Amino acid sequence: MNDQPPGFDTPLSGPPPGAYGVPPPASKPRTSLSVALERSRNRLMVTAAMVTLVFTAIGIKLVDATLLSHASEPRQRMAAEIDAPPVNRADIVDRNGNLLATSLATQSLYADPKLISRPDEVAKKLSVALPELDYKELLGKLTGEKRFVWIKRNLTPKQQAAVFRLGLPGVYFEREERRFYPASNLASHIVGFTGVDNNGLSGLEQSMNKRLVNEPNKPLQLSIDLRLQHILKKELTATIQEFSAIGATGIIFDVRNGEVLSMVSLPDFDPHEPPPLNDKAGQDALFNRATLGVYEMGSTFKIFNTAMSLDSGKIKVTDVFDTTHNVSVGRFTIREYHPFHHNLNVAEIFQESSNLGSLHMALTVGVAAQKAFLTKLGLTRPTALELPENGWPLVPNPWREINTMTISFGHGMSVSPMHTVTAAASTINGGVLHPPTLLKRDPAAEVPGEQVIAPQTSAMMRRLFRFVVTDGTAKAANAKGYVVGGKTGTAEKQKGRHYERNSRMSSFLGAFPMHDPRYIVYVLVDEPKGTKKTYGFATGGWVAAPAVGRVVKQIGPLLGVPPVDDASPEVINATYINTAGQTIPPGPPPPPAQSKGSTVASVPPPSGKQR
Amino acid sequence: MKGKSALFWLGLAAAAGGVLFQTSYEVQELEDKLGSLNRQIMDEQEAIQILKAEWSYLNDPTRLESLASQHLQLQPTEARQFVAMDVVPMRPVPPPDAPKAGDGLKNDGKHDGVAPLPPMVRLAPSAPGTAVASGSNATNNGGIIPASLPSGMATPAKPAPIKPSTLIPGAGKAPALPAAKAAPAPAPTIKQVDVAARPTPSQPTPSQPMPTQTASAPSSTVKTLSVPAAKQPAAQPAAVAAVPAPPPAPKATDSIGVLVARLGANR
Repeated sequence: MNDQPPGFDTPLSGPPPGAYGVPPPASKPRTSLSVALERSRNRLMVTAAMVTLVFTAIGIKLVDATLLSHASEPRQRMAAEIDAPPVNRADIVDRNGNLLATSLATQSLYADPKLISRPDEVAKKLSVALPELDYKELLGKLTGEKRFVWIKRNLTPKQQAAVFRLGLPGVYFEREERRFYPASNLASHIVGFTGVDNNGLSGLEQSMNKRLVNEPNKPLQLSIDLRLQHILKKELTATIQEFSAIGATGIIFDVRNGEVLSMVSLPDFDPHEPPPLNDKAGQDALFNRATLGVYEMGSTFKIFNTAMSLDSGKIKVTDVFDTTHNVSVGRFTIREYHPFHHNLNVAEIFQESSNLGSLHMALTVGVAAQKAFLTKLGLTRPTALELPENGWPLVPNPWREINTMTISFGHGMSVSPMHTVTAAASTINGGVLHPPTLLKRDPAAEVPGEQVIAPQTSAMMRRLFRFVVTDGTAKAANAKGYVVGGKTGTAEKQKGRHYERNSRMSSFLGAFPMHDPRYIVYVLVDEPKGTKKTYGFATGGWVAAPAVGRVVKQIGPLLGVPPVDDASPEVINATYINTAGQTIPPGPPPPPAQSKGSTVASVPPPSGKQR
Repeated sequence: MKGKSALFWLGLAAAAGGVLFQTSYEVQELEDKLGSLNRQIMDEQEAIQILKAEWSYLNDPTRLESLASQHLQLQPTEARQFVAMDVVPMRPVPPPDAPKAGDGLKNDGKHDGVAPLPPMVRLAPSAPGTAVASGSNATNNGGIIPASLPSGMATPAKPAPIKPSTLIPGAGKAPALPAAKAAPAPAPTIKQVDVAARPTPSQPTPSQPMPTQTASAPSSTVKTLSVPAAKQPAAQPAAVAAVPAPPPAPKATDSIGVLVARLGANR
């Protein structure tokens, strides 16, 4: 108190100390001064409370942000993952790991027209750097009102460098991915293709779209073998050219586990530039004849007819059926391709491909049994193949006797080639129907399958298959050392309401090696025309069987099938059958005619005894 | 006292601040480095992806087939070219009194009296797809079987027409015999020439450089110089000369001889 400035002395020390503490006597004039003081104090209190509140909140948040929740700033840089692919869609590889489809990162060029001051100059420069761009169209884009226009998508690195060098403002790159198919046409029907935004539009790209997007690290491995694919396509192309056909399809199938090793449908297309859907040739190229196309298979169906007959127990292989009298039903007459002059037994009916014999066999078994059997073989539903292009069979409804008759030799019911191959595999592999798949099966996992016919029936079917090639309609399919067996098929195509004599579907279903079947090779040729070399014939035995023989010769070594001597006793014992239906070879088969080559018995002799 | 402690704390705070700033800059620098490394990794991964695609594109079977038909004289394998493993006899042990062919040749242990095995015998069971029918390799490479087999499948420089006469199994060994007496060096060079026309086995013997090398840089071995000019004519007489004087073949190789002759007979 004593060091107060003297000037303040007078007014403050006027009233005695404590004079303010005592309220003035409660007289009337409590004066406006004291009221104002009271009010301002209250206001101060409120303001102080507000400030305290806010600062407390900030303080709490500060402690929380710096100490409690995230002690430091979120890191901006993380180390890149080692195995992460730089793309968002998984590769597709074949069974040996060869790439069938992959994604490549590319740069796409876009522009913001608002930021381009001289569109004409920019357009001119760009159309020089990228000659495929049209100047006028580009100028139209760049002078538009939009804030974003694509100029060109998926540039090559060279093109990108060229545009970079121009240094144009308002023109930018965006990283995109583009699907690339190294095998291009070779697997186009299997792999399919994607749209501009990398969504699958056909083939496995479509059906496996989710899997490809969800697990981009793991390539999708198919059961397809690129080498077989190439061989099959080469031979089909040659066949199409030789017989001026309009198309062809081929399948190589593993009978033991249902893997499709190769599937070709010609004509095919380039998946980088899929043909337009609105044009007929484009539709034809996109059409997968192997799975989506359903056809009347013709005589190949006699495989199922014979297997059904033998499996029913009502018919033995030595039973003889009438093959000399044509059968008339309504306005149709069912006749043979080549008339026979005597009745044939089951083995001969299969060997010579007799329509009438098959018909009588089917009638003996019965309508309901036939329907049940074909259903069991999966011929009345789409196959389990993973493709979106999976055809529904055309099944007669109602299933009458006339249908049973025609189905017995492959008319009146249409299935896809994949159906035929899958079902035929079950007739020769011991009677187990494996669902077909395009994905490589895990060798450790059990192969799904269902026993559809008895193993004995299957063993007999093998002999019949071999019989067709050694002495029947498909001698051209033989490939020395690989014991090929099979069944030809020739169906007349239905155009409108009646069958065309000269437009056929000629096919051959071959399997090898017949003493222990491993693979089926199926070839179907659409509308082949006979040539001079084939004496004008265009049947399955002339058109498709030689192609299968050539394919087997080339793929046998690739598949690791050991070649055997066709005349060796094991092979003969496993595949012999004669026209009388006997399966015991007559006497011991002649030993291989080698004078000093006893150590090379497994090599087929140069001078073949087999045709 | 008070001032001193204040000074101490002030200094400490300043030092901490300095260290903090230092560390923060270092971290920033490292993070920049990490960022650029990440970008580099991404670039490399993309490059790998592109290279993979290109590799598969170049390995397109259609392209390979056209290349093979242009540059190779090989044909697709046929069934008759495969034999079972148990058919192949064991490699015969060289007789102890075998003629010493390697008098003048230094690493000639492989030229000892060992009949050549046909290459397809080795290749057939393991790799049927790649077992190319190169019957002439048997004679060209003499007894150097294990080393030259893989290189037989490498890309060859120049295809040589396959001569049926070279398929006689004894031919590979024969040149060593006259060479031992007359001139030690020419025998291996002739053989080398023939090999050079085929895929070259990648083990040049240090004492005898490959003819192609000697052509460019003449070395001490003068006799090899004349050879590269006439490759084929030089090789032909060698093979022909080999025929009249077949070595006393062991009995075990006889069946192989028959085998090889038959495998190549229809060519």
